Amino acid sequence: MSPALHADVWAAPLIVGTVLAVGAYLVAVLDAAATRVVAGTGLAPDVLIEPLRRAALLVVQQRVVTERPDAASWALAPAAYAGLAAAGLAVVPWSPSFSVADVDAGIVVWGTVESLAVVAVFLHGWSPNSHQPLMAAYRYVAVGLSCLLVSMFVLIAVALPAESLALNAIVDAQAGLWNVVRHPLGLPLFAVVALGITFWGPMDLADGADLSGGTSAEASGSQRLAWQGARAAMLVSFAALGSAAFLGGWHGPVLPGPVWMAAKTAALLALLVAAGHLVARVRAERFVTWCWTVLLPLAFLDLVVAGLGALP
Amino acid sequence: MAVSALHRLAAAAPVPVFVARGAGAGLLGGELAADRRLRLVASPRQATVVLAAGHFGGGLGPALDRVHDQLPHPRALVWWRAAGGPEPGDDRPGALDHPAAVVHGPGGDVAPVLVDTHRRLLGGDQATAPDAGADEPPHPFEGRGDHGQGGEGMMGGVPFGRPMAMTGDDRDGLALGQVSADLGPFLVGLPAATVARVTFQGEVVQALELRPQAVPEAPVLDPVLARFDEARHRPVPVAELERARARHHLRAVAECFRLAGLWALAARAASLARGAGTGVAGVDPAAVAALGRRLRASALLASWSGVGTFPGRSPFTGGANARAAGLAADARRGDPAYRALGFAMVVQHGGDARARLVQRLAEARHALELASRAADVGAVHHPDHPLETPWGPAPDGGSVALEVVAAALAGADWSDALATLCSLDLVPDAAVAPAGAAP
Repeated sequence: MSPALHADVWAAPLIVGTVLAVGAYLVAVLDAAATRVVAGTGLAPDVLIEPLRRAALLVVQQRVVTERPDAASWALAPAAYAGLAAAGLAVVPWSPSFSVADVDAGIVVWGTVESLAVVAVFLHGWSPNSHQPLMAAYRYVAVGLSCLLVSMFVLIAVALPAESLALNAIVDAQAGLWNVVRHPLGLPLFAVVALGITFWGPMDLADGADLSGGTSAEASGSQRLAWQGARAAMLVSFAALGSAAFLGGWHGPVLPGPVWMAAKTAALLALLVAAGHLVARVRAERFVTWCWTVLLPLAFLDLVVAGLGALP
Repeated sequence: MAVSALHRLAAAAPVPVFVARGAGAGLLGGELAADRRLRLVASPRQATVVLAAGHFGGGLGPALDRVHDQLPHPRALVWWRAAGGPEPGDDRPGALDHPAAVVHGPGGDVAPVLVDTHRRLLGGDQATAPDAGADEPPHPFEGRGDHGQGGEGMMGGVPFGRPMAMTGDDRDGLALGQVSADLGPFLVGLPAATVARVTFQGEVVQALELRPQAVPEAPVLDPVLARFDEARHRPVPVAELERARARHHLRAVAECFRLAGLWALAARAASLARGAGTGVAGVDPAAVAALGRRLRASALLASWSGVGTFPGRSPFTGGANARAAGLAADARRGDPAYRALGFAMVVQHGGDARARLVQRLAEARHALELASRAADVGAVHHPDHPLETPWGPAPDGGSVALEVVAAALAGADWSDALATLCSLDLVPDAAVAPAGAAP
């Protein structure tokens, strides 16, 4: 492996913050565009500015405080969720010589990010002291926990060919063949996990309309903006990880490595966002059953396929 | 000025609107989902404008006030009312006394009014609406009881109106805490003017009571309701009746899409509903068929399969809900005008939420085709012939006791219960004032 270039302690938050902010904006633009295309209301250039308008509205809107909330947890939840997204993004390599934090066990960091993300979402539902957010929080925990094991199997499967838990080595090992081809079950399973942990689209069991907006049913103004931003940031981090772990990361002809990473991340984001408008929300109980009886065995099969492929 | 630039930017945002459905409004408000200048939101906390559609007498008035007061500032209320309805303040003071704007009649174009209200709010030309209700706890408890806990003994208090969550057996053989809550009457999916009193164990509905709010008779805002009401008393062209039927079913499908998180498809369905309501050009049945293909691709049908199936014989004796359960009952078969048009009934099997959704979309498409044929020959429905409304045979066929529905939903997940109610699209009149219903 080539010597890695690390961002220094000051540049790291700036780089990660910028990528997440730009990525979150991209998510909002893609979401606005997908809404209009699917709704048939016509795509127009103002989808580029619509996210800024909506964000501005949330900035000037009152942040309503409910009766006896757990105020500290309520404020902390979006920060924790965004912080986890940042931690996850930091370990994703953008070129052979650059990742913000080139840790030896990037996959393990991601395991931690996903587990703690469940806690952050639960806090967001718990803290307003309101029925529907609390119910959504519990429902999300059931779904989130079910996703975690699938995620672990799928991520270990990408580590096997590289014989390393470092994401840099995992991308390196895809020079000849991307993991999406090497073990094709991986990316679809990872996409389900990504949608599940970020409660996006068909997996929006935390903030669904059936519970009046779920954990964010009571969130308004800056609270809502922070939560929406954190959620989009987490989707960006997942897309970046998916590009590195399954789509060959920086590998690609002609263009520089980071450009390939950005393009693959954007493509994966577009796919995940579009799914939100084309596929209905799953039923929590059915998903949990399906997760343990179908997805988990499939993830195990993915691991076996990867393991056999990694044999000398 | 940074602040004013921010406000200008905010003023140009799609307007987040919370629709409060009052008496006589039917599903009219849902059609606004088709307008890309607006965003219909699931929680009042997300809105700048609450659209009060219809009339809010009786129990709906205080409910509207509560929703109104939950909107963050700056906020405003727009009242979309039928011409000739009761004036605000007739029975009690409330949020309707000081609307930012009033739109009269279903023909009034409410979307520009909502956009304008939002812009004036953000531009400072419209003052934010003050609370309509008093800022005091609805269930005072402090200082009551031996220890100020609100009641007798350890468990007797009801602080903040919430009794201690006692444990009870659940369907999995566990003893979990039970929590009671009133949801509605403006929740997406619930029947009009109905509050759901739910006892939850986790997300499982331990017990459900659907409590229709007592609402005095109000003038009708929704042109669909008005058209079918008119057809009971005077001759109405079949083409108009069928377009109204298609419009209603498409709106009901849009509500189901919203509930399932398919906001963009809800906008598409709402747009078709609005097209069906325009009359002259109408809407191409092929567009409804295309929506059906999107529906199948969305996996919503698979997701709702087996949800809300009523055990044994369907409690519905007529209407789309009965036909979704395989019951071949449709009053249009007894109408000579329809027979001359070669009317053929559409029926599904299964009687679950999936079948009802498919049935509604199929009936919408069928109604548009019928409307086209009826317009060609000038077919007219006469009031002395049987009339099939979107809910069943007039005057009150297709209705079902809410207790029967509520009892069938005990033990279901809340999201399944709501999907069931949304797919049932219960008869508005029965939902508003069923015989012998508790106030």
